[in-house]
Amino acid sequence: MDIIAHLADGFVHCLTPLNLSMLVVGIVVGLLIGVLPGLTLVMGVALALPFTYKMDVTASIVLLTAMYVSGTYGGAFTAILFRIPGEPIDVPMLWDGYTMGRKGQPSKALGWTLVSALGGGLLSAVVMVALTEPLAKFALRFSSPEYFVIVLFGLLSVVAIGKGSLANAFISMAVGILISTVGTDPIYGAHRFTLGSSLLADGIEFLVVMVGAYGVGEVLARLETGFATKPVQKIVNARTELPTWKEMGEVKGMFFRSAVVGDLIGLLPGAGATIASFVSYGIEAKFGKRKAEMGTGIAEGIIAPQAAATASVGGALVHLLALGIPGSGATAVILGAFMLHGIQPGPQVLISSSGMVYTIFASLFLGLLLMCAIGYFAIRPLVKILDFPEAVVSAYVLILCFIGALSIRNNVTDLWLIIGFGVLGYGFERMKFPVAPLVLGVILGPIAEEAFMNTMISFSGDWTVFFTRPISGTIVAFTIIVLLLPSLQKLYLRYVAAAAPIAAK
Amino acid sequence: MQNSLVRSILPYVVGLAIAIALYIAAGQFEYSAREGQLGPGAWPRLAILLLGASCLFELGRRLIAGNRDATGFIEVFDREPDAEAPEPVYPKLLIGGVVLMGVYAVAVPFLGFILGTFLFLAAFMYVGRFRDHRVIWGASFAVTVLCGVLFLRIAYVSLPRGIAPFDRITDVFFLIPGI
Repeated sequence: MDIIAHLADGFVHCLTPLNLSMLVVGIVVGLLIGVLPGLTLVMGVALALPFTYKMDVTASIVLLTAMYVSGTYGGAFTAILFRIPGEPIDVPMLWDGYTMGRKGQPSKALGWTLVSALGGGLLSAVVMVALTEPLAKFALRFSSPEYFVIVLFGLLSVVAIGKGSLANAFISMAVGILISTVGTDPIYGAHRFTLGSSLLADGIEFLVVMVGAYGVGEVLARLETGFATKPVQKIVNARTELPTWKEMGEVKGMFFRSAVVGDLIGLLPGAGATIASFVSYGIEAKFGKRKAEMGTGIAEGIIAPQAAATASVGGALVHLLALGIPGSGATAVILGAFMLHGIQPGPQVLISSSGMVYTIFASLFLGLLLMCAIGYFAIRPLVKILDFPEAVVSAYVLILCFIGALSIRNNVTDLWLIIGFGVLGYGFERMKFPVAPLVLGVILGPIAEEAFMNTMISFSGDWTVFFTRPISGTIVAFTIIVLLLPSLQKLYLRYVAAAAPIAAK
Repeated sequence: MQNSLVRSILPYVVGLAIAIALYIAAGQFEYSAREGQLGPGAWPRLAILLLGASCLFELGRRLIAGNRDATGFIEVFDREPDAEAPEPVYPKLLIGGVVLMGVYAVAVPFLGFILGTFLFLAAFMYVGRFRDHRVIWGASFAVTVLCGVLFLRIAYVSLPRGIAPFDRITDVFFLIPGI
């Protein structure tokens, strides 16, 4: 009952003019970012971070969370209408969403997208409210060994469940952790990798790395292609046609499955909306009732990725708020916003700032409704943004990145650093090193180091405590399982491939 | 050895060399040691070991398995990998963009944020192969004014003013009443 009362208070706080206006701004900007192919969801959230410096912390998080949730939906418009996935999340939307559109039913495809985003999002928001407080209460039992292994779990999950080489992801994460060690050591006061610079002695701000790698890096990658996004054809009837109750009743089971898959993937630190979208589509294509028709423009192929992608947001926010562990690029930025305001999310935050947490929860519910209303009524003006030349939008994005750098310490060195990390981010992208582990390494590195060093001091350098204490031992076991997932997946696929000819005989 | 293989292993060789150099550097931090406790180099060294081991692993894998990219967990779910032809790339544009950003970083303390940003925006759009002059100069002006009002007068972010005589342009923005 307490939770419901707190949530009701959260709704009241969320309806204050400042929070409500941030919610609306966040939803609209998130949708626009989703629509624009050159801007990714994480990049958009990172770019908004400098705007939140002088804001109230609750309004800041409401803004960023609204951008995060609506960013998972906006890209579907352009994927369905123009075959341009605004986000990597929306790639599966091309297979059935765009195909349904080409069959003359783009409005219907948009309708299924809206219903899936709303349903998936609301379901995950309920799960988020129900799980966060109990998880945070449980986390109050954690000591430094448990904190260290949980941070390690978050970092290694991002590495394991991703795209491309596992070794590349490890390299990216190690580079991120090393960047976070630059500066003055918190225990001994020793200068580490500072090259004699007084600015570097203060450390490298994670914001510089984050905005540089995501923002500047992405613009450089687009610039190298000559900003060659395909021109879009004129869409005369860009509108949304909602499915009937009967149609929705026919797919309720698979919708629920997709939303649960998305929520569970969101709950796993390291797996964000993109993975949720792909995995959910994959499950439907493998085990769904109409698996043979997937890719031919059926509703199931739209519901599965969209419901899962939006449902992953609520899941991802659970461990961010309850444990202080971001599981994806976007939640890493949101964690950054908390830290900029001097708040460390985790079990204590629900005790010290429960009003803020429940306002964030309420904003997710309201944001989902608002997102769908704006998506339903304003789809034409939203896709109109594609008429803006990419060079103009990218130039503006760069200036926002530079303002972010200049406003941290009022020092031009940070501008050089952001350009440097932009080039590094571009290089990583080019050489197929994932950027997310780098950013998470920078943010979680100091937290992991502090927990590790505290454990070593408290337990006289006995590293076996990570394995022998019940909670930390269990988390270590989970970490090993997650790390083994890619290998297990390959073994399973080999087994399936070997078994197929035998079954055919 | 094939050129493509050399190109593909080069980042890992460089990574390994950096890891070795950093490992040595991490052993030279100056601090007052406490008995029985790990020093300030312990944590960075763990990260360096991870970096070195990962580089070594990938190096070995590429030398044994050939120049083939490893696939991750998510690729299995992708229905149409590499379905589209790769986009053409223009390295000169990239170099131009990076140089332009460098010039901006050098010039902004002298020109000030307002003038520096206005010129950067216009130049970047030209580098990005956009050629509608009216839109370029109009958008650069509008975005500069918007950023100036938003950050100098509303958010009160401290941005470079520039040196005389360019600081006069920044001063104009301070004549606008704060909101």
